Amino acid sequence: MTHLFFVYGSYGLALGALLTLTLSTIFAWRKAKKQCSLMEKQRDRAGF
Amino acid sequence: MYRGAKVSVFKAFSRKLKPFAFAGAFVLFLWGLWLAFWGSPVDYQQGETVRIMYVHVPSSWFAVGVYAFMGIGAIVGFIWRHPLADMAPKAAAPIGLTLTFISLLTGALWGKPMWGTWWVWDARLTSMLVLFFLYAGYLFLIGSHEDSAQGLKAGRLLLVVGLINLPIIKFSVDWWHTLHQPASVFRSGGAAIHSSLLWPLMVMAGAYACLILGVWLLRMELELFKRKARALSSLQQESWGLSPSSSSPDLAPILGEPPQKSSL
Repeated sequence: MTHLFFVYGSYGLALGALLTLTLSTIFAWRKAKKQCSLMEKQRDRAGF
Repeated sequence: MYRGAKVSVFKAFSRKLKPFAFAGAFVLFLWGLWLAFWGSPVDYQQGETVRIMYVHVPSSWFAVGVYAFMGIGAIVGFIWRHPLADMAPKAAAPIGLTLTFISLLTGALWGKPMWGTWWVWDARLTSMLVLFFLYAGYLFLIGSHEDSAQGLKAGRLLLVVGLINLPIIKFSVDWWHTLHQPASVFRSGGAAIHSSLLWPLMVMAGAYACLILGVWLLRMELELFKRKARALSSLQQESWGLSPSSSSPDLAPILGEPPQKSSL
């Protein structure tokens, strides 16, 4: 029973860390993509 | 032109490969987790605890593998100074740091019931801790310099010097008497573990590989977006006459085609 705590703890930790890494990357990527396309629109409008 | 072409080839390649990498990771994780919990036997000595192997071992393999990849990127960056060669290690570093973190903590969670202790200062564990500090040090170096080119240069140097740690990690269990067991998969004479345990391990390793590839491609694109935004911002400031151009010669491949001049 105690051993199962270590097993589930390991899986929770590993999958949690991988999920955090993946989701934080996806959100940062979406934010940067949005910012970039906004700046491109500004560039096209202003013609600099 | 050559440098720009390489970046555009990478972008096209990344756009196509990303969905396959994430789909592969999803399917292989589901399969691997099913095998890890229900499709593989318990060990006759370790009991249920052996299941920790399916997350601990792939994390450790790829923690070392990602560093080797970054080290090669740093060497390529030193020699050819291609923009992608600096971006590749920068995009991979948080992935390697996370994998080393998982490896160290799941190792502690495996060590407590099996060895009776969370941590020992043996060569394998200590060299993995050094790897963690190398990743953290690299991220600190590239983030702490005001001049990003200087930061990347310092980071490259640390990566190349840190490569010496990789053979130490791999062979520490053979060179010194350690509490950590010796290699049981990648060793001369073939794998020392039964195929019923090896299969789930390989499926989980495949899942890790796909996820790492997908996240790395996303982080590469993220870095390209950031550089593009910085370049556009400096062009904007220049057009307003706020500051002299701070654009680097590397901006052309990132920015792509120049805009049409407005009639206004």
